[in-house]
Amino acid sequence: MDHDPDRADITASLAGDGEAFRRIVLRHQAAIARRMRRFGRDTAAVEELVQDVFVEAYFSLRGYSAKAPFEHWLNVIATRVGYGFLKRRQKQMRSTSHVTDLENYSASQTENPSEAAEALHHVLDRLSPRDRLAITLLHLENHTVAETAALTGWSKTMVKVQAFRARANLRKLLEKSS
Amino acid sequence: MNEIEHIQKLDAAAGKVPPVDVSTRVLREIRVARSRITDAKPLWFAALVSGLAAAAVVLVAAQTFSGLQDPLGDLLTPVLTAFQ
Repeated sequence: MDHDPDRADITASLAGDGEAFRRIVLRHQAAIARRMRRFGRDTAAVEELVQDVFVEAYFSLRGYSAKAPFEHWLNVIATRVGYGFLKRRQKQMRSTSHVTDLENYSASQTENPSEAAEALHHVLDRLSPRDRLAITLLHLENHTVAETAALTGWSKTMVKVQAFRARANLRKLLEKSS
Repeated sequence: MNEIEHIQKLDAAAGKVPPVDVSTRVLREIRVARSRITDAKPLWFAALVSGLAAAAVVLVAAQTFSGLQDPLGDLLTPVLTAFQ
């Protein structure tokens, strides 16, 4: 009954078959890229993040216990990689004082996809990494509190508290700009 | 429109991510990382060997030092027993 292609490729990858891991990457990279788009601003950054997710997955492969589907396990790694990226990025932005006016960005003016993406990142960049992660997982990817807790390693109570704070901070941010 | 609807609208307008293929880059990165680990192995081995060698030197020195004390102890023993 074991028709899970991931499981066979994981076993082969652990035995040193590089092509098996390539098949895993090819199977999951589109979904991971969709997820990482919410962390990285441009295509190059998204590609870099997707690559980091799979490299980390490769070196953690022995730790995959197959209790949960492989994509769930991969999503936990993706969340960790994305969160790490946000924290590093926030430090860089602090050191370069990357500040521009929010007034230039409003939802009504964003018919163009790249402008909309730019506007979205511009708003989210002003949140703390924790706030941004909570907003992203709960409201952009529509995960439940339990799923968000599993992805982040936070408790369910912590997710609820973080989501409440994040939403309040986002509201303040948007009120200030309007 | 509340704050969540605002960002959801932006997110929807941002469209889909263009297709990516990082498979070749991932495999190359893995190869590089693995070779880095393999290259680092001799350094660990060298550190281990030099650590063991240093420990052996300390042991030999301690033994030698204690051996030097023995003749003195043996010389003094008859003198001390003669006085008793």
